[in-house]
Amino acid sequence: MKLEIRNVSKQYSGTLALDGFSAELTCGLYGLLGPNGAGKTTLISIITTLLPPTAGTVLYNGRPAGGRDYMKVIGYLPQDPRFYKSFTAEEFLRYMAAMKGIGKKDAAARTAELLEQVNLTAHRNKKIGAFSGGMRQRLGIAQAILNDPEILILDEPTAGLDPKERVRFRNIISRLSSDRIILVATHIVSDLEFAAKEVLLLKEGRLLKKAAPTDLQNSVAGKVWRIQAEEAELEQYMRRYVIANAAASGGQYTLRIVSDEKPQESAQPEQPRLEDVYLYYFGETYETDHRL
Amino acid sequence: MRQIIGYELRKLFRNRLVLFMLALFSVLNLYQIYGDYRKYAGSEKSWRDGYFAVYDEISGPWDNEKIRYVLAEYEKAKAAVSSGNYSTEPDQPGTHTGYVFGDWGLFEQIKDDMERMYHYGKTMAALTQKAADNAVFYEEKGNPALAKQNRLIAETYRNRSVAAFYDTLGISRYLKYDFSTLLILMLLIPLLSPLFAREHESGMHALLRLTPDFRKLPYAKLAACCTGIALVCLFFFTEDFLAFRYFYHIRGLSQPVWTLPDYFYTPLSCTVGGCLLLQAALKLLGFLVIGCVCTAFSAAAKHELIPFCCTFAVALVLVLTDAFAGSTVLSVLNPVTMLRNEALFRDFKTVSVFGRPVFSFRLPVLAALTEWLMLAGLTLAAGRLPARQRRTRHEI
Repeated sequence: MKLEIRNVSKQYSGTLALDGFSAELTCGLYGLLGPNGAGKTTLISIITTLLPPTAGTVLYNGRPAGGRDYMKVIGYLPQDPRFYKSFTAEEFLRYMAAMKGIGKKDAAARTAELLEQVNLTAHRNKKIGAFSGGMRQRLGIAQAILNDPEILILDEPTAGLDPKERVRFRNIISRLSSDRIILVATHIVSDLEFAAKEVLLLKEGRLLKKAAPTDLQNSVAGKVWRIQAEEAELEQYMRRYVIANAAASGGQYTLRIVSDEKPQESAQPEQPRLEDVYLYYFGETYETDHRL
Repeated sequence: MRQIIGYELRKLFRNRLVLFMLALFSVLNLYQIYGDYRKYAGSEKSWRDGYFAVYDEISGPWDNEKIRYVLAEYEKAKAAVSSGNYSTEPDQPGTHTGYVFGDWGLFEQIKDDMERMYHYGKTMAALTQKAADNAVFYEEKGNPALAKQNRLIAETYRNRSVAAFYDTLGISRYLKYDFSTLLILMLLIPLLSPLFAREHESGMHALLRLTPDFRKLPYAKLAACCTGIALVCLFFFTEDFLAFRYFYHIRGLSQPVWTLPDYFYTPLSCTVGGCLLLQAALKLLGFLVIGCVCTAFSAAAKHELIPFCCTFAVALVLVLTDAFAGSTVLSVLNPVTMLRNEALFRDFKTVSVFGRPVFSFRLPVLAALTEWLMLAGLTLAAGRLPARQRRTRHEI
């Protein structure tokens, strides 16, 4: 199983959403990290053939992506799926099974199996309109894997979910990643930190880095600091540095700063996390961001 | 494919607004039919009861006894009214309708109907003979077009007769009744507007495009659309028929269609029941055309409000054009002609097509069939186009 994205670019009248993106994906879970507007959804749309690239090509097992055979091996969960409010969970999966060419008998068995897998069996006859966000996401993953796809693409799958739902979702994805290519586009770092095989960092349409989470963390070793600051100094630090965390305690602040330079003499180096990697490449100071 | 069509049908009808409109319209429809009945079958119950009782007595194959009875009752009532010596109080004994004046009106109507139906065979025989003679005449005079026309008249009206007498009011009113047509038209627009457009609104279009059977989907949706239209029509046509049958005691379905007063010169050769089915089929065709206007808009739009408004506007223009355009090329092309097709078959009207007379009612039918196929093709073409991906907010 190999998905090759070769020098893919996408231009929208005047704006270059993707700029010469290249990557090779094999079995395992891949994270696609980047801020809003980085080009994640555009890349996903091109991989799924929903959008044609302006340049470049996508190959799966050496063949150009697209066509009926490619649709048989792909599963997709879009961002914020709404589905059909008047359908029950079971009806919706049976409908999608019919659209994916799964026979009636197999569809019945597969639907029951998947509802069990995503813990929706008790809600099988409930209308989707009455589902919570987390339930809809779980139903979404169920429909995405109906056809047991070799490539599974998930766009912001945990956005809006509470921590319990996010953990449940992560566990489902981890179980699935052993024998297929899974690409998860997200800006929630904790979804990928412990499960992803590799993380692709995307900024302004370009691939910045593609490496295992630990390698990415090592790449910012010596750039994450802990300092103590007075309340009066807080704004000054926020203007100058990217602050990963600010914890208040008795009039003083413990700041976690991501910076190439040591912010103060007494700054202590910290073990980098994937979130620090994200901030290192995508974070902005207060001056740049104008946000507190 | 059948499964997908089934689910598409569910999508169409699992719509609270549509279900509410269906329930409301079916009640309104019954109310309107009842109003029609009160208006045309007499506002007084005693009159209606007398009317149906008399027809129950005299309906059936021709019988001299029955004819004499009708004439006698008519003369009796007429004499009583002429003498001025009658009571205006209701429920007079010895009357059928409760009033002598009402009896006179009833038996005058029955007498006229009887005369029309009794003499029909003779009238048509004379007409057929005249047409045959004309055909020979025009042939001799070297006018083949008129000769063919007259031969067609002779063929059409040959061997026509009326073997039985019955009450034609119910059927006549049923054929003219078009309130349910308006209700169906109003219901189809919200029913069909979301057919394609809702896939974009719900974000399902992207998911569906990534399924191996996506190419089948427009066909399944079109099939669901046509099935949905047929089901709605069946519902209202059945309600209409059952309501008219209940109120008007409809009879004569197996009688020839020319027994109906408005169909004296009809070119149709079928039973009354056959004519009802034909009318229903043509209405269905008209609804299929307008339905496909809606689905074509829906396939091209991303919000269901657009096909809703566009179809409403188109339907309004078509209805107004039908009301004011008269019998022109526009009426041939207008699918509303199919919805109000009762007048299409009343008279013998032909057009010359390559020198041959062709019944003019065939033209709007052919036009409607062609329009339906073209609009269905347009729907399929628009439904199969890849969606132009809108850039989402976070991509801009």
